[in-house]
Amino acid sequence: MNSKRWGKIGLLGSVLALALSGVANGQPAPEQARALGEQIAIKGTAAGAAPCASCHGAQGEGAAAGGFPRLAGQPMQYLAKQLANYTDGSRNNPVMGPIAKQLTADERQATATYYASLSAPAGQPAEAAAPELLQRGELLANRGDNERQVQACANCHGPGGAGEPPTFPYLAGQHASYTVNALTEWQNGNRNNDASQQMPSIAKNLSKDDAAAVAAYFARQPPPAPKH
Amino acid sequence: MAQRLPETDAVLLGVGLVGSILGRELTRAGLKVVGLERGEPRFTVPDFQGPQIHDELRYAVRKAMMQDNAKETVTFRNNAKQQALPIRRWGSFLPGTGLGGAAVHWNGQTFRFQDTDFRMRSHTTERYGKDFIPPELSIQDWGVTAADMELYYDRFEYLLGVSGQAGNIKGEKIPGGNPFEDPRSRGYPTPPMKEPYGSALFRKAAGELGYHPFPQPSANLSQPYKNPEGVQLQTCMFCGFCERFGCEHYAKASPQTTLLPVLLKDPNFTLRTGSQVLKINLDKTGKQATGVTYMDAAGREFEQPAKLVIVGLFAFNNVRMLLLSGIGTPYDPASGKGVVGRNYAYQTTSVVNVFYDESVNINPFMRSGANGTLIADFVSDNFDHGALGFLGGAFIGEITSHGRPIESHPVPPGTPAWGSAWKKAVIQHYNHTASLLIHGSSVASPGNYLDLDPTYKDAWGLPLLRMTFDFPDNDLKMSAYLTDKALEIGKAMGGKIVAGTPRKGPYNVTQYQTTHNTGGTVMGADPSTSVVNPFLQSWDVPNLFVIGASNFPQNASYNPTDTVGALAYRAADAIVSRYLKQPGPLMQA
Repeated sequence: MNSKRWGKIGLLGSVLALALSGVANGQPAPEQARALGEQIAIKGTAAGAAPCASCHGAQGEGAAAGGFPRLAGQPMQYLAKQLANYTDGSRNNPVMGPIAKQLTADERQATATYYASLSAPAGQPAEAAAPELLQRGELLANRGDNERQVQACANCHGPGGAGEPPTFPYLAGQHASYTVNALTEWQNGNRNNDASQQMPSIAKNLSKDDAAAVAAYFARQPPPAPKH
Repeated sequence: MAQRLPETDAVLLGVGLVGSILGRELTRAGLKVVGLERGEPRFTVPDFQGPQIHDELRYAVRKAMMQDNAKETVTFRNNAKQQALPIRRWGSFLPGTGLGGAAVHWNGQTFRFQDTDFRMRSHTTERYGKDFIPPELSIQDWGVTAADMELYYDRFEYLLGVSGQAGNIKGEKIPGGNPFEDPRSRGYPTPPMKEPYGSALFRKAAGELGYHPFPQPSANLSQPYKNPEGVQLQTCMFCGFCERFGCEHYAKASPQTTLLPVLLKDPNFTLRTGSQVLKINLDKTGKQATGVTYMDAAGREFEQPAKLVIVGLFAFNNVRMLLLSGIGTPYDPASGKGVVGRNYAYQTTSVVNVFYDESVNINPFMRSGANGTLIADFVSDNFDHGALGFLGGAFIGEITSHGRPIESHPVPPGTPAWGSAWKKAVIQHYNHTASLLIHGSSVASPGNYLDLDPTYKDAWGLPLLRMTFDFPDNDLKMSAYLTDKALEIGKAMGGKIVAGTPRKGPYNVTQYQTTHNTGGTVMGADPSTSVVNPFLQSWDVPNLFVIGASNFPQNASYNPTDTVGALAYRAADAIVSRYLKQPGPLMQA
């Protein structure tokens, strides 16, 4: 009788321990993941991964000057996929590649969970933009250009570029320098992690001025609050 | 008084799928071509862009892309004893309008008809004897074979970039494709689309029952594709807003995404939208077309003279245009004589729903117009009809194209039609139901036909087309037999409840079925039973070609668009390679 009771408690104990260690079904539980992600973001890892915050800002607000993107409130699945793609070669970036490779799969997941939960105030666009450029950007973002066979960004990235979680990142409030870099990566093939291949096609159909226009337009839109 | 315009080499009635193909082929041959389109010009950007294109109420319920039936509709009756009344709101079928025609709002299902379809009378007689076709069915051959059509199917499919898995390349059977298809000269231009979960459940069950599942050939593309015209198409994003909508992603093949970017830049091509053709004009002999009379959007009447006239309107509007113009002998059901309007046919469809419990997530919203998996084991004459007492067949497939919130809420039989119990059932079943479509053929019978309505007129004062149609017993028997087969597959798929009823008469014009209206300007080798010869040239007026699903002598099991595109290319080839060198009949009657 007694041993049976102890057996039950023992089972309960191990379940409890599992929960405390933050592992259920092989995945860190969200709260633990967020805490681990926060730690990585601020302090980096023992294995040598640099703290994310050193480039992406204390609140995930990014930095226009270095072309470091806002991460705050991007969909968790989107961020986790990008980190995985930095390690598998489908997104080649000399800065992020080595960092992502220093993270374990759980650490990447945790970092994505943390940044998805943040909200950060809108930054100020770094550079002035001509009204004509912003008009062109608005047109491309919300309507597209049939001559260039470019569809509206809003089709996938949501009205106003607010994102369509879990797959499509928000563009609204993103630093123009990053958006231009991202479009360039799509164009030159350093980024090839869109299974539909829509983004490489669209980016290649945009002129250099178009890429600058759409980036400048979105940089001036309010970033969305985190979605859960 | 109509203002007479300068003569052109060719005039197109309608700039949809047929008009775009003929426009391209004729301008390529050096002709000056005027395209007359009754509807609006429209393009991927800006007209089909999100979020407005996903307005289900506007496009799917209120049918914004369809022929304006406040101006121009069809009157309907089930049989000649009834008084036909105008269809004031489209239901059973959805004729498109505007640049690109119905090929803008289609689903992209791109099937070849079989040789046994093109030779339905002769094949049936060869296999089952001369008494097998009942005398009350006016089934006939097309005057072409699958081998005649192969080149043109190939051309059309490579224009569109169709995504699929070949089952037979030059006689060699390819695993995973449709084993019943006639030989094709090469594989599909792009690989098949990804298979949704409900379709995978169907594939497994159908395979275990001994059938031959294969991916549906789709003009919503699985990957980017540049067609032979140099026009680039993109990948389908499985948005679930395909049929009744335009595609925002450049992913659905349509005239806008395959041909118009080239055609509209051609200096030999002139597009005039908002141009309602009132009639085709003939010379005094009645054997030569001189052009057309049309009215523009401001109500001004024009005469557009042309050496060559191409009728590429929606199928039943082709029939109406000939009747309004007095071309060919109208069909008389009493005597069985006459050909224009004869052999109108449709499609015989039914649905089986497979209701799972909440452990099976179907995600019906994550679909594409022509995705999914089907079997051709019961298509055409791929099975023995000897003891069955009917002709024709159907494909059966899990090819759901959407789970849109207003239109899509499958509930099991016995569920109240409204109120809290209905709402509860909708929530319970929405994400846990797979639907099987039984998409069946439609035989021609002398009582089903099209003529001009004696009472009702359109906005231009011209008689409306009158449709007289009911399902022949043959097709109801076919539907009963094959709906049973689909119920068996549904049970094998593991549904907790599997429900579906065969198509039953009388035909109901208010309930959506398909927009596969066929016949009325039938093609064939015998002028006493056809309006156009096998090159789609009018028997009566040799400088007039009539092209569309109106050419089908009866309708086959599969969707019609691939055959319409192939027929258009075949007619264009005959015009360019033969007719232009020596204008006149391409075949002697």
